[in-house]
Amino acid sequence: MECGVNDESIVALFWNRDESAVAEAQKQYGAYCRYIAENVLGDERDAEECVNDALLSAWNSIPPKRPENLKAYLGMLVRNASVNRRLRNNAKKRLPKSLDSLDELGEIAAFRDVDGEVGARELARLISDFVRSLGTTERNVFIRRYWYYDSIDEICKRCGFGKSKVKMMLKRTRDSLAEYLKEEADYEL
Amino acid sequence: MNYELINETIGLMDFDLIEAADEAPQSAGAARVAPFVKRPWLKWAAAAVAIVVIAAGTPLALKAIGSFRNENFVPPNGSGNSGIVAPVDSSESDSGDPESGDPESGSAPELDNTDVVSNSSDVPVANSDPSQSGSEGVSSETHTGEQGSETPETPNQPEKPDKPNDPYYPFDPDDIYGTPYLKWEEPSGETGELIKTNMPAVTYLINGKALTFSYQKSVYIKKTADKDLDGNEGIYIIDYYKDGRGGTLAKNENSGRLMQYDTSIPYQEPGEVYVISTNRDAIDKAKQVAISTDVALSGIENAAASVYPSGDNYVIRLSVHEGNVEVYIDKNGGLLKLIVNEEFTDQLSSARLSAASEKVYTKIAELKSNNPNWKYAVLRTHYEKWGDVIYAVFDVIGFMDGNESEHTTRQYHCVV
Repeated sequence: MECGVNDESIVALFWNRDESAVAEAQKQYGAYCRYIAENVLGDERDAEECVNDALLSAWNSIPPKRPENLKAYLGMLVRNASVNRRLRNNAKKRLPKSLDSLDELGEIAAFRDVDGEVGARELARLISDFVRSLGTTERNVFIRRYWYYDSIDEICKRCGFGKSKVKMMLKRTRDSLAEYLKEEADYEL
Repeated sequence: MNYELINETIGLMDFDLIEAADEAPQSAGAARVAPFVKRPWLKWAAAAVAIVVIAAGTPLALKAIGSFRNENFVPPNGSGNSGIVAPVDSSESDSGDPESGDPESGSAPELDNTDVVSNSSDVPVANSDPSQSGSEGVSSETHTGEQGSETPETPNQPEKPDKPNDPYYPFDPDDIYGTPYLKWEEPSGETGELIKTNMPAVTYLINGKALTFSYQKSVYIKKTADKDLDGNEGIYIIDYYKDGRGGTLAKNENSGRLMQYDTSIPYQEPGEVYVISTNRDAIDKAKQVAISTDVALSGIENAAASVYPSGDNYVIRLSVHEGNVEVYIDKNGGLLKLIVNEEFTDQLSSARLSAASEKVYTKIAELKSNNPNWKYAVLRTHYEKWGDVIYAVFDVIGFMDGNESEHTTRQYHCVV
């Protein structure tokens, strides 16, 4: 796949400590990263800074890491940078609307009980397994909401569904996920 | 709840799932709303049918219109204009002129040559009332035909200025990452154009000379723009609003150096106001305001305001969490009315407020937050019109557990 070849080349640039790696990564995935950051931050300039932070993180982490999927790897970095900044900016105040989805997941006991990076990785693996078992539509809606931080409106636009349908779909998926985690991993409610 | 950890956990999901959701995002909805996607031949079939229908129907329709015009129509005022909308060459109507800087040419005569661009719903629409249309009252939206003519004539087109004389004029609100989205011409004839916005730098073209300045917050220059970075005097200030964000650029007219002057104007509602100002008098006043008010305090992130036209007047709206204050002012800056929405509540006692602030502000409104520990109060709104610029200043104070914890002054302005 052409995308994969490009990814490989860019990752090779990172490994060779070639500074053009950052520019190439930005060229290839800058818009993608900005989309995620703006979803979380709702602010172009803050989003730009988070994208830059994510690229710097990539520069610092590759090597030793060698991500097979650079797009998603950068997405994860920018996602973390954006969320952390948003939470930091809103310290002591209510959760900003763009991060409502974190509250939704927080209703699931397993998320409240997760402890440390190892626990997070294990939980993420279980969630991935669960999401893989969903139908395509449910799966994409879940990921758009909780990974990309798309608003309900945005998901409605993408899928052509009404708000209530999307909300209900998410609610059912969360309930199923809670049940699944409880059964599969001995997470208790 | 540990939101960071929840976020990181989801972030660690398998990447192939993430990419799949990004690459096939609209399949279900698209299939429902656009059957052409599944059956592209339908599109061509529909187009062919439409062409046949139009070809067959147009002569009949024109004949019918001509008949109506000749036999039934009585001019409303004897001016010789019927007010009937004549067929218009689509290439000449409503297209705007990207070169003229007037994207809605003819649609907003009352705001012609002004510096404020709003969304179309806010802009007065050209008069389309047949009884009001005089022989010269032709707009690009409502073309009047000449009474009694056998064939509709091509309507007169309004003159489109090649270059706006007014230093304030709307600029093309293209994608901020595209090129260019800012253009202006200064009274001296000097032209400016934003040609590139690539983080971390922004490049402007001033009289053909590219100037780049950093876009990073660390080098923002605040408030004291009497001199530029080199200590030179003689500064233009260029205010801009874009996509809900505002900023001010200062350019030294001698060196041509452009620098960021103040980017503290916080997030607005989706920005409908686009302004470029090089008015020196207004700028002098702006500098005084910028210096005399503490614009850049960063406590209350969610406080946001916007200034936008509403008919002949202007509305300044401040929002803090769920509450809104709307100040309606006329074009001279006079107060018309003040509306505080119902979300505002008066839960704080005046005694506590005055004890906490010890200021002479007029308490405008108080509002609650979802967080029961937080209360916000708008202590003062102040608005003034200087030259062509209306300024609105809000003092917002935040209380946590009854004690003043945050106090910020927000300043907004628009050119009228």
